Amino acid sequence: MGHHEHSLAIFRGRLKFKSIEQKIWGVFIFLSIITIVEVIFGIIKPQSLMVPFMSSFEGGFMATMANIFLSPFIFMKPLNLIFIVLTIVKAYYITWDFMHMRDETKALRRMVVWTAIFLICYLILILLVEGDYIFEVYKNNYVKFDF
Amino acid sequence: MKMGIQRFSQEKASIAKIKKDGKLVVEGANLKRNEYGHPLFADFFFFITGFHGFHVFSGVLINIIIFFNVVIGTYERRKSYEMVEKVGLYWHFVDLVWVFVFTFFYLV
Repeated sequence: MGHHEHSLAIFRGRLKFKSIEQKIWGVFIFLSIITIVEVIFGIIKPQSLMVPFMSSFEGGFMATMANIFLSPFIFMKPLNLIFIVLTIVKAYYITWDFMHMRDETKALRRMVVWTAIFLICYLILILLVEGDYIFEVYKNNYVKFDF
Repeated sequence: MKMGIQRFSQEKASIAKIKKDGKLVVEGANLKRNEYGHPLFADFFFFITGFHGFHVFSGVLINIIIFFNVVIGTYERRKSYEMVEKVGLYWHFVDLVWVFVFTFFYLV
């Protein structure tokens, strides 16, 4: 097997470590800080972050398009948006440093990440459609559409 | 003998009384009821956390095996520590899943 070359810098080269062990501990501390921040936000649930940033647009095709593109800011609580962004940051550092994706070639990184992103988007679509259907059945007490 | 039968019927009567007039005070969350929200959410929650817990359990077992293999020098004799790398990859995959389970089932 021989010795692999590990890249020892994170934050786009702004933070450099002396060894691979040091880097793992550094990333561990960074991820712990993010998790602590998440838990504190989850306990306090600041009132200002519990209502969406903006209300939905009314009337016309362009309003519908705007609602779709801005849906995370219109239909989601900012607190949940913060949680999701912080989660993606944590997922990035787990894959890049704990699973050594940083040391792979660019082509392999892109292959793995874009395939996963596509499948996760597809899963989200399925869950939203099915969840909406079950919600409607529970609300209206009848089968909405039957294949 | 007669006293035994009498006591049995008394017990049956009191169980029937509990079932008929009893009021459930603490429900908590399980696969049948959920006092914090919809029962469907409790089902989904225990399905996901249960599966994740089983992955963590098997990960801990495999990590222990790897630890003792390192201690007794299995990989030194094999001249390759690749298996440590593979098990590490599995463990961090479970870690990666937990990051999302934590966000969507505990925080959001």
